[in-house]
Amino acid sequence: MGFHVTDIQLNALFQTWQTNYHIYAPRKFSGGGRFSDTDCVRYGEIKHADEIVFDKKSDYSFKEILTPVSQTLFFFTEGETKEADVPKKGAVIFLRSCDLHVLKRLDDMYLHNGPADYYYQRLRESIKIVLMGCAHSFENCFCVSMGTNVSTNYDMSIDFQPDGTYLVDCKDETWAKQLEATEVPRLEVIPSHVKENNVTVQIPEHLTAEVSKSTMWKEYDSRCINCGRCNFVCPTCTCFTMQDLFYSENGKVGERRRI
Amino acid sequence: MMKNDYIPFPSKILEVIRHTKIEYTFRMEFQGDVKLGQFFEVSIPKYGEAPISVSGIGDNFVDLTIRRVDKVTNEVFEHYVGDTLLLRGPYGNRFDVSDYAGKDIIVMAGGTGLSPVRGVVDYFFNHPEQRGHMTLIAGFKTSHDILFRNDLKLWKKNMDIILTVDCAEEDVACHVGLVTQYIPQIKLDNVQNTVAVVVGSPAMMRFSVQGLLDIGLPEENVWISQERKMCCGLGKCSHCKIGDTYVCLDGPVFNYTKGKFLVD
Repeated sequence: MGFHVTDIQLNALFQTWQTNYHIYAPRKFSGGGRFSDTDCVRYGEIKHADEIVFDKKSDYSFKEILTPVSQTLFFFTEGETKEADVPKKGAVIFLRSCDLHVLKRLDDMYLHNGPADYYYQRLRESIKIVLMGCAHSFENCFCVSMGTNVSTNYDMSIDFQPDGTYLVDCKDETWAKQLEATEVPRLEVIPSHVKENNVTVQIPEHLTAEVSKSTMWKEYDSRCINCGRCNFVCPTCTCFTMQDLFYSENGKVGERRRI
Repeated sequence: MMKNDYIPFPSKILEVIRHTKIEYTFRMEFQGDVKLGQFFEVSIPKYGEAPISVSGIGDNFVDLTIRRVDKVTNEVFEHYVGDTLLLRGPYGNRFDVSDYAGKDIIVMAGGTGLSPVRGVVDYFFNHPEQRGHMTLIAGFKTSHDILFRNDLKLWKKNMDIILTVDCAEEDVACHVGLVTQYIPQIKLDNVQNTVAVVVGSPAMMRFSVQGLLDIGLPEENVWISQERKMCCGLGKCSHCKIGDTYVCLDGPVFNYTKGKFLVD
């Protein structure tokens, strides 16, 4: 169900979401760039529509919302363990089409490769997805080659218009009813998507694990300083390790985290 | 209600069997489904976790033979009978004894590699009617490092045991040399009807399997156990991943036709 909404109407919708959800979207972190006096676009909690950055790609993946950089699994005392509390609110996450395809990969790993991951599943079950339409391709994007330029499995889509309004396609019935109640103009909306990238990637046929022995990796090996940042940039990387922290002097009270 | 596989459960130490200065078997209270070849994560708050293979299974216990090598296992060795440790598991696949039934069996183990395969040897010791001729070649660094001495004495009753140590010592009561040099001594009637299980360090497994293939064993008749540093045990963290194989889920027991590709 499509609507043409203003920022005021969208903010009103956001306000109702905030009762049960945190809203995460790519937003600008002033001064948060890699060099001094540069900004960074990454995922963070937002309250208003104008905080969302539509015209730039996020420098970091959205996955920190589902697989936090540091996540407490349980607390331990001398004789007992206590599971970390479930987050009180769910999350509405603004994703581009390629990110939605990434979510499938994360689901494959955390939900379907062996037993479902307890902590991922309980977060995953409480999220809603808003698809951010891509009116044009960004630098270095190659989603068309990968077939990830179109997604349909969203709760709502959103396209920012030059006049400051938004076109939304709402599949979530509750949200659609909320918009209908405010009598916003209805129209058919198809989320915009990229049809052509400047970069075309061709995947070799019959690719096997033998490629891991390619000399191509020597360049990466020689530059790697084990900082782990690639893990945060690549949205499909799921590696983690576990670490115990203790609070008390005797070291018997603390928590186990995955990092 | 979803099951939280990351929360360890308490398990009481029923018995501690000392093999060497740094290798003990902890008999842990456990009632549940567990199979030969699987492993548990011994989970010590503050110190972390260590994957330990099951070396024996009883009605209400599992044996975990642990080598004191890092901060987690050091801490385990500070616990005694009656104390409680935290465990997660069991994880991984198993040695399926039906794969070996009715056949001549060769077991080659290096050092603590005897631990995960001990249950298989013990099973066929107790069920000789389910197999043909059986040979165990077990190698250790020195005679002081020999594990499961009582079992080795017992197993001698109905199978060939070749016990060897790497370094020659005075008055050594066993063979000297690497396990591979004793492969030619194995009595072989029909290589097609002979199966082998090889567990040890990567180098030991590599050369032992090569030795077995050289005497004519088909690859599909050889099984290995990849004792790697498993972390989550649930196929998520990728610590044990080799190529596209998760050792904690698909292994640690592999037929050599697959296991031969697990090199990193």
